[in-house]
Amino acid sequence: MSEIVLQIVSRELLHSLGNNKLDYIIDKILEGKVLLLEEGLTPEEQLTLIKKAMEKVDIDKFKGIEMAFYPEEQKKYGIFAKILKKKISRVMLIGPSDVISEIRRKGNTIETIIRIIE
Amino acid sequence: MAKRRSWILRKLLWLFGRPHIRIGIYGPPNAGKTTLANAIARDLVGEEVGPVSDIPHETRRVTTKRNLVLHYKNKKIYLDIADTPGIATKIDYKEFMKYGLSEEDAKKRAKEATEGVIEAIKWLDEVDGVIVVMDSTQDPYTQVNITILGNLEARRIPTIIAANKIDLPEATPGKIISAFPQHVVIPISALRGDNLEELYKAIVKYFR
Repeated sequence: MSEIVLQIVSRELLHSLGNNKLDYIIDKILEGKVLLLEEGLTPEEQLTLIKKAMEKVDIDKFKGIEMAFYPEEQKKYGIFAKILKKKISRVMLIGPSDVISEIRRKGNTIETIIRIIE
Repeated sequence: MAKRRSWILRKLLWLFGRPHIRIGIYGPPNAGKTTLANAIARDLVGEEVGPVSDIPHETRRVTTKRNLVLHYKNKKIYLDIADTPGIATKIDYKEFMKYGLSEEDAKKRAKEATEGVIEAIKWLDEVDGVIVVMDSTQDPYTQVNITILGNLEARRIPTIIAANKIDLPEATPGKIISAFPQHVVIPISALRGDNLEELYKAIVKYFR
């Protein structure tokens, strides 16, 4: 691999994918792409994505995923969030763990080291 | 174990029946989950739950210990403990080889570890309360910790964070308390058994 594709996925596309959203994300990651989601995933979706990633782990080819996001602040949704208990993370970066080699949180910034495997 | 019982059923059992709490021990690899499960089981029934190791993903299947009796205010409380494999987003067999495992053993361990993560996630539906074990010597604000806690909040599963390894000089449990102010955090050393009484009190208070 000599180049990395960073795909920015719009909120509209994510919404249009409906129940296929996580399969879409996993398929793109398996292609080696790094995704920047305009709207992140709920905690349940994150855990389901981890489960799907583990199901896809291939000892030599695919080792899993790395993801970085900012959890949504509850107060932004006010009383409705407390009723619905839905916390959607804000912008989310996600990709194969052998490409995203490290994620560093520094206060209000997230740095990621992307490794190009020759 | 069966599916998680409703809050009202747990309360009725507490008042009129046999108080029984099903606890899942969750967290990232090498946080000390099995060490904690062993400490609790040893304390209450003099037995251990499973082996521990410095090599990550030593626990690769959910291991349970049932009907541990906790004595609390002249009441017997029965605890089922489920020690779960560490939740991880990636598993690289080469990491295990750094601990001296052969390539064959490392690959086998990696395969089993992926299955363990899946099993641990499924078990979230089975427990009444979760102890999330975090390593006090590490940065607690990881994606895995955030994802686990986010799921517990979304599923409304009562949660206690055990800030483990306070026996180590570099431990900073205060960082965990600051990172997750909305959760109950009990600093412990599972290895030495420090502060387990406080953990038991929290279990009774928040999981019953």
